[in-house]
Amino acid sequence: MPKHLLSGIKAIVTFKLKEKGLSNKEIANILKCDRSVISHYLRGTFPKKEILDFVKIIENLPPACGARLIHGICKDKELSKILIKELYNVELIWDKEKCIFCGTCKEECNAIKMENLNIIIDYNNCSYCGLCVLECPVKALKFIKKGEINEKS
Amino acid sequence: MRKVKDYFDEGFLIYREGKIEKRCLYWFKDSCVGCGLCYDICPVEAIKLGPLGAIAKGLVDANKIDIDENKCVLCGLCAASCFFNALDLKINGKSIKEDSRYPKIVGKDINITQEKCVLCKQCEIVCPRDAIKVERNLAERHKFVIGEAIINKDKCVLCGICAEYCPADAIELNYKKPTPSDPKPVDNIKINTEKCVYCRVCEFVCPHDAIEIICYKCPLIRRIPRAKIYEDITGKTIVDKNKCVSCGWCEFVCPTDAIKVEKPFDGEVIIDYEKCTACEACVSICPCSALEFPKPKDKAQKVKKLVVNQNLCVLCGACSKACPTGAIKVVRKSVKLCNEEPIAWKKRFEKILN
Repeated sequence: MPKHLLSGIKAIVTFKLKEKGLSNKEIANILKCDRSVISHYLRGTFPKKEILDFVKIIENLPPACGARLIHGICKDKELSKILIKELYNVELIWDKEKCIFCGTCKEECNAIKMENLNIIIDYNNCSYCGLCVLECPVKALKFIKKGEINEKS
Repeated sequence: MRKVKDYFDEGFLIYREGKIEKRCLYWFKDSCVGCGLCYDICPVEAIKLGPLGAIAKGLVDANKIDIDENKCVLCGLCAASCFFNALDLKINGKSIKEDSRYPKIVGKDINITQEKCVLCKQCEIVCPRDAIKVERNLAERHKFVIGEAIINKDKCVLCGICAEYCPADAIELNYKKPTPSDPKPVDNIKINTEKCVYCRVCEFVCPHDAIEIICYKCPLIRRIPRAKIYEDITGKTIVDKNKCVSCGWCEFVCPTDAIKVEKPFDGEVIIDYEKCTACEACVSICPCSALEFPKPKDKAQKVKKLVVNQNLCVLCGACSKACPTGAIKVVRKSVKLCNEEPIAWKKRFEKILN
């Protein structure tokens, strides 16, 4: 079952990437799978509708919860990261104004460091697992939709 | 991340040992006054207050606060706000109270100018927290109480009248049992110079003119100089800043303005007399002894009326937290912080202002 779900997630992500104008080959490279699988997704032969409907539910979850789920289904951290970023179209953001520097996040994760009352996120090492977002007691770490980030800045 | 709570004799601690740092929050029972500042400032509602009024009045034996280790995130805001030093957060062994990057309430302070202090001990007597100790060393009695006491044994009849009058009990007659071989009942008279103050009363009362007293302190002779502070009277007034709550009693009573106290907040205490039931929980809990129910002057006045001396109050809010009827409101207008960042900390500190 997790495998089917993973295919479903990949399929939804494939649709999103196709909308962005990427070729089947590029999508296959990103999702680490064969081009034929991508064309199956796009033609709708695979996966089944029930699976796709269920992935729609996952897509509507709060991104941090969805991220935990995807990491549970997919053991490849790199791939999980891509799927999360594309499915939810989010970035991990640290809000300096909310942070109380309790250090909870950095205890959970190797990609987060606290230096001189600054939280530094190593985006290369971050796998978007969402644990820090869920653990942060004051919601200073958040997944924010990419559009909203631009609006803010 | 797992947090552990441990109890020890003086209180409890909550710690979290991670890969990079160890955070440990300490709470000390004896220092905690039950002001509830930590309760107000905690961003995760991990702190619960005990039945403060009953604890202060000694009716129940319970802790003034409790911290839920599962909710606590060990951020240290409570420690930074606790100016009674009942809470402290140590990150890898270093207290955040010593880390200048974190905001702290800095207004609270006490300074004693030793050069002005006259070692009168009044501050020590009034201090409600036993935080002041006046160590006073006085020059030996002999330096000032000095003179000569001479008994003319030829004139003295050993009547003992002088001893009856002596206000210092300094004259000692040696009474003994009369015997046929030595029938006299008194065999000696002596003036004890440890006790004698050379007041000359014996000289005046002696009917036989047998005593001569010379006082070196008397204006006519003046062989000894006046006592001088820091020469004949030395010492030091020591304040335990850990115990001091900067209430200002000492500053108020100091006759020479040698003590300056700084308070952390500006504001006032407002009492709603309609709600007050005179239960005295506030009086019991106040760490500054700034509240009292004075005895009614007018006998017709049946209900006791609470009085607060705003000058002795530090606006900690313990009274309002202990009041069962919500009759006391502590209005804090401003707080002195040593640091304005992080912003989230500053915002939490603003929560304790009205």
